[in-house]
Amino acid sequence: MYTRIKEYRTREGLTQADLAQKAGVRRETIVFLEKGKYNPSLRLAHHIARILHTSIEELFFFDDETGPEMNNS
Amino acid sequence: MNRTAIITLEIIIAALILVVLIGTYLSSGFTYDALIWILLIALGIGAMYLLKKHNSTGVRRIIAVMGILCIGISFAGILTPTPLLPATLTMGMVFGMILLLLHWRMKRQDGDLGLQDERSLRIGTYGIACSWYLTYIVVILLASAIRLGGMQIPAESVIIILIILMPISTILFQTYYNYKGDVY
Repeated sequence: MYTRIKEYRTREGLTQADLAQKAGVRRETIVFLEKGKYNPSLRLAHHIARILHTSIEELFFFDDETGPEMNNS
Repeated sequence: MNRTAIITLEIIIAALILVVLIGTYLSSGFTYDALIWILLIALGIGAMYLLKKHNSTGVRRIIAVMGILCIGISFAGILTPTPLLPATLTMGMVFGMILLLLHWRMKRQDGDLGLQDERSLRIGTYGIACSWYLTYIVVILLASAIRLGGMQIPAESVIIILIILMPISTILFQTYYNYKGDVY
């Protein structure tokens, strides 16, 4: 699984700790999410997407998928 | 669940544990060994509860000191002649090590004081499940070795093996999955 959490988080000017606090999870969880090592629940994915003012589809995609922009082209 | 319900549940569980421990002591014929085993079990349960509820530096230090004391007293008991059973001293050593392991494990969560998110809950549950499977396999192997292989092992030793295996394997599995990031 790949994520663009780091990209969106930086764009929002948030640190990992800030995002973790807003999402109500541990900072470790954000670290593993950004590395693509942790598959979050739909609820957490939705929550993070809302915090970062984007959609789940923009944030998460799997190995057999390409990014949303590439899908549209 | 609201706070009052949680406190009531905790009191009921504590009372049940206390009744079981006192009952065990009374039925043991008031031996020192039984008293020490009961105190060690109560200490283990209390330490785990305290760390789950208040994972602070102070609590962790108390747990570490208790662990070192357990190991130290048990080691002194092994070196000097005591009327206690050898299994009691082994139990003391084991509980001391478990307390130190708990201290080390919980110290790594210091940054997120007691916060349990979905990932930690998933890893916690999965670690316990893996430990249960491992213990079940060990029980099957022991039973096969005793029944089919003719191995002779006292029931006391089997109990000590299980007491050591379950908490330590749980902590190790949880540490592994925590390092890995997820349980899959």
